[in-house]
Amino acid sequence: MHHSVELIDVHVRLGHVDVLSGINIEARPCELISVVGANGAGKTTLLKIVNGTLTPFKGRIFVLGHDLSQHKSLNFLRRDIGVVPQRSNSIRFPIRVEEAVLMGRYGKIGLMRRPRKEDWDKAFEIMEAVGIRQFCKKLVHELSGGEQQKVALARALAQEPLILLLDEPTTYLDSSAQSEIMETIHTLHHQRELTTLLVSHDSRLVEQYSDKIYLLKEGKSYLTK
Amino acid sequence: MSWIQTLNFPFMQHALIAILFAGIAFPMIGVFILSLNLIPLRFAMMHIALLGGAIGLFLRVDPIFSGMLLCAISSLALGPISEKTKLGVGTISGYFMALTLALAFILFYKADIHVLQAFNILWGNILSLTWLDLIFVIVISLIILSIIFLFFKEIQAVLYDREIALTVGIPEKMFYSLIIFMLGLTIAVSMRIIGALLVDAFILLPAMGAVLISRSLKQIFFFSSLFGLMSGIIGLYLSFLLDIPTSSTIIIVASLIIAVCFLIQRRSTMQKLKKVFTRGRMSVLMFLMGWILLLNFPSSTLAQEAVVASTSLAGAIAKAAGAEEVRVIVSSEMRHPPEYDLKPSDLLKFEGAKVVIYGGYERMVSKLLETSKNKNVLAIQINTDTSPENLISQAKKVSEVLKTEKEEQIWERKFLEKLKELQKKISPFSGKRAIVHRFAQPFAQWAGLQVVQIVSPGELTPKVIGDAIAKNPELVVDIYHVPVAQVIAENAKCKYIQVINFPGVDHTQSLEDIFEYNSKKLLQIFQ
Repeated sequence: MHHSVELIDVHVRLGHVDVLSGINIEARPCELISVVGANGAGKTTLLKIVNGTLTPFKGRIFVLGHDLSQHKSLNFLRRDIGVVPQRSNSIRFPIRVEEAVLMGRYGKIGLMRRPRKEDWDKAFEIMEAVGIRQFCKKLVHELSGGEQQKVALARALAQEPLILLLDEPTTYLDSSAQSEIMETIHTLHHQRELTTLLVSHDSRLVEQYSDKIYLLKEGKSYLTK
Repeated sequence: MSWIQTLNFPFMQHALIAILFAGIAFPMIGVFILSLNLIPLRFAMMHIALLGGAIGLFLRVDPIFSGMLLCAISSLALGPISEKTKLGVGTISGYFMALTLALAFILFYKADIHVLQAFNILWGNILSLTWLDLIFVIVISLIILSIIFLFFKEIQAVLYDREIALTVGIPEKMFYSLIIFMLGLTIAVSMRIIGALLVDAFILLPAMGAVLISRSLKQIFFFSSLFGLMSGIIGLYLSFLLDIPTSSTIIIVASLIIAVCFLIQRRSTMQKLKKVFTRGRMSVLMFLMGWILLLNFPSSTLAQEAVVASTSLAGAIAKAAGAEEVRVIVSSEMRHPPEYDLKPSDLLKFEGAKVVIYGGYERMVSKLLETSKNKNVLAIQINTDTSPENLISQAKKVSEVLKTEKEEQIWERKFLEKLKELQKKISPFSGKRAIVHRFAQPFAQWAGLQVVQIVSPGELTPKVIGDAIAKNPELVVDIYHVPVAQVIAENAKCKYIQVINFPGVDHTQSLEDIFEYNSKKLLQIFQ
């Protein structure tokens, strides 16, 4: 069985700064991997590399058996990778929860095609699973931080991904909301047999949910669990 | 004349068709601008269109075509450049705005074209649309509507969050570039066709109002189109009713709609409004609005032999030629005719006219003649050089058409007597060494000034200023309508006057008044 995600000796430079200098990370199918590190350690950069939105200047990246350096367009692959970003850029954009979740299906629906009934059913099923079904008609920016994070999680899961990438999913949340969202992630990870890569600055919070934990420090990765 | 009757005129039919298409489609581009924060790009496109026009004038190809072409190419390039440089479209737009403006000015200088004249190439007005203009508006509107209909979900994702659009597997860069391309094309075309003022009225303002009250992207698109249509139709109607400039009226209506949206957005205000606007009161209001719709417009009744003049100078020449009733389109207070914002009554002046007199540089006249229903109108292009010999010759030319040669001869005698009298008064100052604006040259020569240097109406270069000062002038004669040479007078420490070529300043009306005003300026400065 091949690894779902494998990073071999990856180096990334942003401007004149070496953000990552020799990262080695591997995630097998259905593993929940956490990458922890201080602010500015390169955690978000790491997720962008896996998603193919950032290209390293050295090293190799394999995602679902594909060598990313061999592909010009990665849109086909991105449809199998769900991403929960730290925070949406468009905080005030008027969009209902159900529309935001359905957006996860857009890549799979294809260009110039309207969402079908199956796509809406899938979106509602995920909203139910994540616990936001009751907010479906509300605008995303009217929800609390924790609820917005669940919407982002639901959108990523609506893609029916094989890999789930989460960027600091508990930031801006109070402690009870942090535990709640981590429980939801953990449950759905197992239910849907996902390979999950989660980055966080809070190693204590993620420890009990993770199969493996990597520490990012000074551009290097260290396996700590 | 009633609202319905005005629809018989082609200019009204064209304006309504343009409002129908541009009012619905163009505000959707405004939604892109607001959602993706592309306001600087909008400004950059306007300047790029100006550079395109300058290139056209310089290479002697159609400036309209070159302006649109450059906008289309730039809008295709701006997206990828901002991606590569990672500076964002806003920053890149600022860079292009400054660069294109500077390049345009250099080209204008090299081609010896005044900047204000150059802006004439970008003149557009909703009341002067030709069929070709309409085809442009319709085609672009249909392209915008089709793209939004076909790719609604992709566009929604890109507007919501470009990063998320990318992660769900949408070719986000392609759609972002497509949005910028549509934006560039729409701004270039609408600026040239409906005028720079209406670019905002049709593109930005309706979208602003819609964003305030909408709860989904579909609603934003719907309300922005509705507001675009409403402001266009209501603005056109009010400009007729009150006989005020159309583009400005449409802008004001669009701004009022935004103000109402702002009030609606606040729930407490909404509750108060509901108390004020009860059903009974609303019925009375609707009745009043219906009554206003049936009001008659101020009609423009012209004498059978009426002459329409594009500017106050053309009007003065027509009067000199013996025309009895002369209607001037561009008001005399207007320093520069190409910027004139048309009123509906200006168009109606054309409908009853026998003769139209114009200088040839007013693009609006050729467009108005093209769109006018009155095909029997005789257009006379005159030379607007203000030397006495030329003015007499132009008056003669017009009088031959109007068959008023006798009246012209009487005027000519009086005119020459007046000039003789004025020349006597200013004779002590003839021979003064003068730096003269090119447009003031006819007056300087008539006044007997010793012209040591002529300055062009464009931006002055350090060399021109240095040369002028070195010639040790006693006087700088600038032109009131587009002054440029005050800096020379300040540095050379000499006298400075502004003379006029168009009557209207200080109650001047006739050609004699122009010479009297200018002579008075010369006398005053040396006494």
